[in-house]
Amino acid sequence: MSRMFSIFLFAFGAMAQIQPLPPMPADTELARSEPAGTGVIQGIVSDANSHEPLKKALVTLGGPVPSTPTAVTDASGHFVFRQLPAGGYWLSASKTGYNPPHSPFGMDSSAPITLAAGEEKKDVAIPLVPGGSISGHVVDEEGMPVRGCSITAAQPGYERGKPSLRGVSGGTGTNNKGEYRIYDLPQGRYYVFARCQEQLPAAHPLMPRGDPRTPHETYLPKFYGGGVDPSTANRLTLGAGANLDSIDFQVSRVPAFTLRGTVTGGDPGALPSSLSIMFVPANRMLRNLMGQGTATDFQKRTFQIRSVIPGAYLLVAFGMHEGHSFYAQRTVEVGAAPTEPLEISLSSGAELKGDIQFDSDDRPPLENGQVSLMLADEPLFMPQPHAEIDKDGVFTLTGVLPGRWRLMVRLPGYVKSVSLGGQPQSPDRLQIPPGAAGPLHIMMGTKMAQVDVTVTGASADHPASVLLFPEDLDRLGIGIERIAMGSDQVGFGTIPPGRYRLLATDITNAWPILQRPDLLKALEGRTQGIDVPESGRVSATVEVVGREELMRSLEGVE
Amino acid sequence: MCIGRLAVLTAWFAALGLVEAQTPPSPYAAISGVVLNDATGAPIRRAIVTLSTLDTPPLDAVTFTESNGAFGFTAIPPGKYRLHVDMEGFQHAWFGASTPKRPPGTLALAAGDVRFGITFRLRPLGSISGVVLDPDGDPVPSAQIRLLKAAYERRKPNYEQVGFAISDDLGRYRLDVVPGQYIVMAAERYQSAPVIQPEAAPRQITSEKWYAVQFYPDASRLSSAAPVKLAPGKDLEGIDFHLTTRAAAPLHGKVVLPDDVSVNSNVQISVFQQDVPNSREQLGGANAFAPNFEFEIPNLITGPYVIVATLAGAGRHYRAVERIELPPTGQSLTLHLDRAIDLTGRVDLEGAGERPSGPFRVTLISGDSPPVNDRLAAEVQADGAFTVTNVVPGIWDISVEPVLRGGYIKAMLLGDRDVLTEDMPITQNTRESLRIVVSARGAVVTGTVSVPENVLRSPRASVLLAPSGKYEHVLSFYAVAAADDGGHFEFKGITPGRYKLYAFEEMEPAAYDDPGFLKPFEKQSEAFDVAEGAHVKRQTQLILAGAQAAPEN
Repeated sequence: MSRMFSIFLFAFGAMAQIQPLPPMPADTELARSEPAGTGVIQGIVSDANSHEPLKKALVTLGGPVPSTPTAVTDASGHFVFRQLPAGGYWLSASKTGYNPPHSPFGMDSSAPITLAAGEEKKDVAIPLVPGGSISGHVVDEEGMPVRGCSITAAQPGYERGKPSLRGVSGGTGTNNKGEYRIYDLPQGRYYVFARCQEQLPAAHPLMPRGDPRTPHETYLPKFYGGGVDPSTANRLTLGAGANLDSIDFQVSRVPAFTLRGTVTGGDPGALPSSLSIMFVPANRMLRNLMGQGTATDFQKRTFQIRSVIPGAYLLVAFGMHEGHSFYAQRTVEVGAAPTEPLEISLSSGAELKGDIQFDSDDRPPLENGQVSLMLADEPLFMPQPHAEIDKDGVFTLTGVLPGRWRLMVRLPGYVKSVSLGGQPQSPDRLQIPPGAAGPLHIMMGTKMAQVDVTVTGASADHPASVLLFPEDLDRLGIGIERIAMGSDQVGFGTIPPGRYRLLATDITNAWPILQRPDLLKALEGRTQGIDVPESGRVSATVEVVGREELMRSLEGVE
Repeated sequence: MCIGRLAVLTAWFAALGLVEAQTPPSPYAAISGVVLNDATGAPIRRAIVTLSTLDTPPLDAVTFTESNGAFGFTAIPPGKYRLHVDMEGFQHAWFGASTPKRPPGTLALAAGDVRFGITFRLRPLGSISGVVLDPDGDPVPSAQIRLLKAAYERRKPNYEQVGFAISDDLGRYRLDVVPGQYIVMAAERYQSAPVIQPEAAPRQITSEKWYAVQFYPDASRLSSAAPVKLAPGKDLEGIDFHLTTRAAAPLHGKVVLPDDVSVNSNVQISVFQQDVPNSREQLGGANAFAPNFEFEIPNLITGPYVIVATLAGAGRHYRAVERIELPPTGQSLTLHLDRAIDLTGRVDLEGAGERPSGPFRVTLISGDSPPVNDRLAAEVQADGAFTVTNVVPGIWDISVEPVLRGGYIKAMLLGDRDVLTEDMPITQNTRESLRIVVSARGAVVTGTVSVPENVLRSPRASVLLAPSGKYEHVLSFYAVAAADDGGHFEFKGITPGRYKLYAFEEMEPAAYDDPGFLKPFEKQSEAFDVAEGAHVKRQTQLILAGAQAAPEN
């Protein structure tokens, strides 16, 4: 239930941005206006695939009504809302097994309706996309069922502009017959990953119980149709509401090791319980699927990682002490034999002094200005430094760790240019080497232009989402989304000068498209270029790309 | 480490005549055996056999069975060992215990010992599965299914939860369990039941319906549920539930505070289902805020509940408990908070002998249902005095640590009240002091288990020393010891009194919690007295497994 409400609220909020609704009566007015309206909204909830009516779907109505009336559909999928005053409404429907989470681009089922006084709106259709399922079973080398395996359905996606695999299901476990079933899946392409994470005993002579050198085994995790390497895996296509059966696995046992290690560096005597160790596969595609538990002894600053199979890994240590952060990262190659204890050495971040300047004489006030660095690269967590800017435009960033960062300044204007230690850099890809020293010079640009966009092909009933993003795909992920209704112009406000592209589509949650360089490239022909000068006003027109075409392009690139 | 190699080597030497058919005495021992499926007799492959020493911490050696179920260990240093077998889908087994209810045996291996033919029979686990449906026959996803087993608590019949599963989107569930007798219970506590109502209007009050808890088959109360019996290795299917729905019955009320409580604290209200065993799991709750301390819990359906109100304010704890039977129209409730007290007391040590190295520690554990979550503890000072703070009213069990070797708790008195053999009830008016006497002069009871004539059974039994007479109900006076292969057993630190001894071939660990458990055997055992510090020697006869009147659980 709560999920449905969040879709509803988002859409409502977005709508409020763009077009003034008929004035909504205040609550007190409504209470006084007895009887309430006489308008009616009725319709049918149906399965978007089979077009069959859906029984027992929960339908919620939002609009100028004091409570949010809900109806539960009957066997013919029917619902009726009566006694409605005139106004703008949103309908939202939900049912178990439909509208799966993680649907691409948040395909929600809400529809905006404008109701005149006493109007009867019939035949409002709400299609719900059925969730699909994947099932099968897992056996070992002898054909015996394996219990307690975690099976994940993963979808290819992008994380910070790089391809990754995102686990979509909740990691269903196999039962004692080795069977599993993953349900509530949106349509799409999937990889299925089986991980029977068990620390299994291996034959050995008398050894003290709990000794980390005790040999043990584990099952080798694998993708359906392949091995541990995702490039060998079978990619499955799941239609809306489809059921894929017999997605079976045969897993084999391999020796596994317990890795031991110590954490050095940082502040000796410091770092009480705020020491985190992460051990993940070096292959980015596997990171979301193969987390590994670590046991850390804070006093001795040692750690143990169990059931490690041969492969390449990344070991990350992170700690904080009295506001100072410490971090270390190293690769670990685990071979066929147990490795010697590891060592990882923490280092604290650099201190970067810097200043802000403006390219024109009229400087905005610097109060509440802030400089912050956001990770542009690795998904592993690192502290994100930020600093206040003083009245002279000077700031000091502390705890800056080496890596690639995106620089953000909370002040009117935009970051025109940046230099670090005399070397010019891109504000979106700030390379901070180890042992970096300042100064960090930031030049802010103050001259921007107003951008207005007209959308063609949007219908009055379906809002369109308009995206404005830099043409340079190195600046991926930056962009603005606005909602357009009908043929009205949409204002984007002041935009820094540069070359941009516009994309309009009729799905309301289009933001994730900005993260997909492959999709943006494929849709290039359907986007509209726009040059934004340093001042004045520019306008452009862009045509809506329908949902079907968008889905086809998505399928084309995957 | 293959057993075969040792045998081959011996044979080879003998064949060559190099050694006079007599290998030099080996400093090591070796064992071998086989693991079978108890239900079918078939060998089990890849079962995990673990040989463990009796040290702390123990040393373990692991091997796997072959396709014929055979296993072996060689080069075993002489000593005493335990041996156990694990296999997915089966109950595990210990050497020397043909059922899990018997005490495990010990393997004593001397240099040169070669033990063949150790046989394990593993009982296959079974499963219970079914589907949970709503009144229209549609599946109920994410329903909570619990498996309950009859047990005793504080000598009163009760149930304990031994399994848990959640139904999938088709309403199906599956539980893998040890064979036995169970009550199966289904509930959906977190989502209201969808009721078809296609017409809606503003300000229309839609009454939500919730699912009623159901016990298989079709019972709304635990007392009318019929247990399902799961045979070894069987998959019991079709244990289905057709849930019914009820309208929510509003529960609202008010908490009355004692006068001196500071006003800006919140009272936590917790709701527990009374009909569900040992319900430590909270069904719902609310906060009652100052200054009115009113609360409302809207989503309960009719049924029996326990409502608990707790408050911690200005360093003092408060609690109130009410048992209600919520009617369909709802109920209004007033809860009066009782104040916790500070329980003072002293621990005195009697008798010469070993003194503990550190201070004593007195711990109070709640004996109520639902229990108070915190354990309260106090350290005993050098002069023997202690104070346990914030003891809320209720029944409390007392534990004193460390346990003196050979010693026993001689007395526990709350004022004049014996709280060693009786429950200790604390109210907000309790002013008395708790006096505990620990004596170093515990009694010792030793003896042997004799096996009836013409019966070929091991005297290795679970020996129960049970108080006889007026202290039969005092659980802390019962003791269990495992007799060794010669039938010898030993009890130390026994409280003086009158006792009976029973030697069971098979006994569940806390079987005596059931007051009726010993009735069939009482006449066979003679009561005897044990004085303080005495050493009593007794003989007792083995009670064979089949002799037990109660059906096997």
